[in-house]
Parts: sequence; C-alpha cells; structure tokens
Amino acid sequence: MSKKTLTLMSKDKQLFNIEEHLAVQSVTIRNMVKEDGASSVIPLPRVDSETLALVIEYLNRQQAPEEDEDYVKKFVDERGEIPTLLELAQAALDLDIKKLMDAACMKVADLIKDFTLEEVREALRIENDRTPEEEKAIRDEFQWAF
Amino acid sequence: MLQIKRKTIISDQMDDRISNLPDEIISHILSFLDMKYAVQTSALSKKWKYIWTSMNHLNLNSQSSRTSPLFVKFVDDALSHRNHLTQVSAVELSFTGAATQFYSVVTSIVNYAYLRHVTKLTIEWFRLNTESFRFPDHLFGSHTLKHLSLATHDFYGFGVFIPISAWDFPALETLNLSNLVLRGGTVESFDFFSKCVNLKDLTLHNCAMSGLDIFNVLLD
Repeated sequence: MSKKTLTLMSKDKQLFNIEEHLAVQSVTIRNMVKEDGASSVIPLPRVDSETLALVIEYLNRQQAPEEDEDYVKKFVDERGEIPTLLELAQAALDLDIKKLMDAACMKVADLIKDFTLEEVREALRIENDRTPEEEKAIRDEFQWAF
Repeated sequence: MLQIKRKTIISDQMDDRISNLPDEIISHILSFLDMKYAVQTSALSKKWKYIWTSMNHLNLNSQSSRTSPLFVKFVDDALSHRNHLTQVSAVELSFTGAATQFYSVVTSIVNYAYLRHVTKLTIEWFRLNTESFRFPDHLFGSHTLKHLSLATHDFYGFGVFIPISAWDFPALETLNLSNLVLRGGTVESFDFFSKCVNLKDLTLHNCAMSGLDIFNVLLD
C-alpha cells in the first residue's frame, strides 16, 4: 500500500508535500484530516515558506521515541536565532505541535534569561510605549519584584 | 544597493510579526524563566504588563532575592497578583538556607498547588540544617497532582514529618523523594501507597525512616 501524501501551502503560496502519517503529528492537521479527509491542499495562512520548510524537516525526522527529546533540543539549538525561533514557535502554535513549541520557547527563554530589560526589548523588537514616568509607576506598582 | 533595500524590507516584516507575538507564546516563554524575572518583564511595554500573571508554570527560587524575608514577601505578592482564572500546571520551588525561614513559603505554595489543582509540584532545598519540617497535611491528599518531587541536596540532612494515613494521591504517576528522613511517629507498619492507584514511577533516593519499622511498597 502506498503512503498517503498531503500538500501544505505556506502564506506565500509555496507547496510542500508530506506523508500523512507524519503530518498528523500536528493536531491541527490531524483534525482537518479527520473532518474532511483533507484530499486537497491545506493552506497555512500564517506560516511563511522558510518556516514551513523547517517544520516539515522536523516532522520528517526519523527518531526513535526515546531519542526524540534530544533531537528536538538539537533541532532548535541549530537554529538558535531568536527571530527564527519565534517564527517556529508561532508555526508550532498554529499547527499545535507541542514538543516543537516547548523547545522553541525554552530556547528563547534560555537566550534572554541574563538580558537586561533593554536587551530584551532589542532582541524581541519590543517598543517601549511608556514614558519614563509611566515606567517608574510600573516599577513602583510591582516594587516587590525589582 | 537593491539587495540592501530588499533585506531591510524583509527584516521590517519580521520585526512586525515578532512585535505582534500572541500572548500565548510570550507567556509560554516566561514559563521557562525565573518568576521574578518574569514579573520584571511587566516593565517592557504596556502589552507585557499582565502577561506574567497568566503563565501556567511558576519557577520560584530563593536565590533570586537578596534575603530570605524579601523572597517570602516576593512569593506572597506574586501569588496574590496572579490571574486566578488561569490554569497553573506546574510549580517549582527551590530554596537555600534554613527551612524555618521558608516555612510560610512552603505552606503557601502547597496551599496554592492544592487549591489551583496543580498537576506537577517540585520542592527542592539546598544547603540546609538538620531541623525537622512538617508539610501541611493536605499536600498528601491532592487529587490532581500527577508528579511530585521533594528533594534535599544534603545527605540525610533533614527530617520530614509525614501524616499517618495512607497518602491519598489518586492521580499521582511519578513520585520522587530524595535525601529525606521520613518520620512516621510511632506506628510499626504503614502502607503509604495503598491509595496511589496510578503510581507508575517511584524513586526513593537516600531516604531513611524514623519511628517506622515496616515500609510497605505494594505496587501493581
């Protein structure tokens, strides 16, 4: 029996094929397959092609279950740039792939854990939308944590 | 020149997506950080003010505070500011120093875990003295805990009083007790695990008993 293949379409309309039994590690895809047999193309409007290629690479891994934890850690370690990790986390959230989501978020946490707040703003592209007075008010409100 | 322009556009798009990260991702990232640091991220921007109140995994470490009283106050304040509609799945507490200093913290964490139906609780002591310690009895009656780990890092450094009735952990799957002295009082024999019907993984590492002659372990 030949293995059934699904086609996933990224936000920028690129198509990716993947065997169904691997694709259903994503709970989102599993539910789609259950509902309508997912015969046609599955659109993923929030995932760009670069990120989707990474997700497919992850889903295609051939690891024994007991090596899986190490594999996913190594997988995100090798893609250790914060923007890539955040894109991966977003895709993993949309596709509901828990292990990938956990590993990507844990890696980001690990990278920023010794940063000052200013460095976190820079790394995560956060615009400080408070005036110095407003920021002081927050530090006063939660002064037990500063 | 053209290439530089294109690169700018791509990185602008990326900036935009990153700064619009869903709260779910942000709170998940915060879940892996020390809780004090997580609370401090409230100062990053307006959007971040309350995200820490909804993370579902709390990491509390006494070494994040300069003194033990400051840590006790931090835990009190942090727990009372939490969004109580959020499901908390795991709480980790580690502290360094005399247990008596942290008695109120352990009690509030145990109460919090009990009331909030936490599924994973880890309590770890570093560098402690030999005084005894009694957990609130209802720690041993949680119906939601799946994973419980109580560990010290001193060999037999510590005496933990345990209640004399079978531990009532119907959901517990993993139990790890490390470097503890279990003090049962004056009964001869006691079957701790008769009500732990789902226990699959039991680790007793460097544990001693005091006031107990027979320690029954009957697992299917």
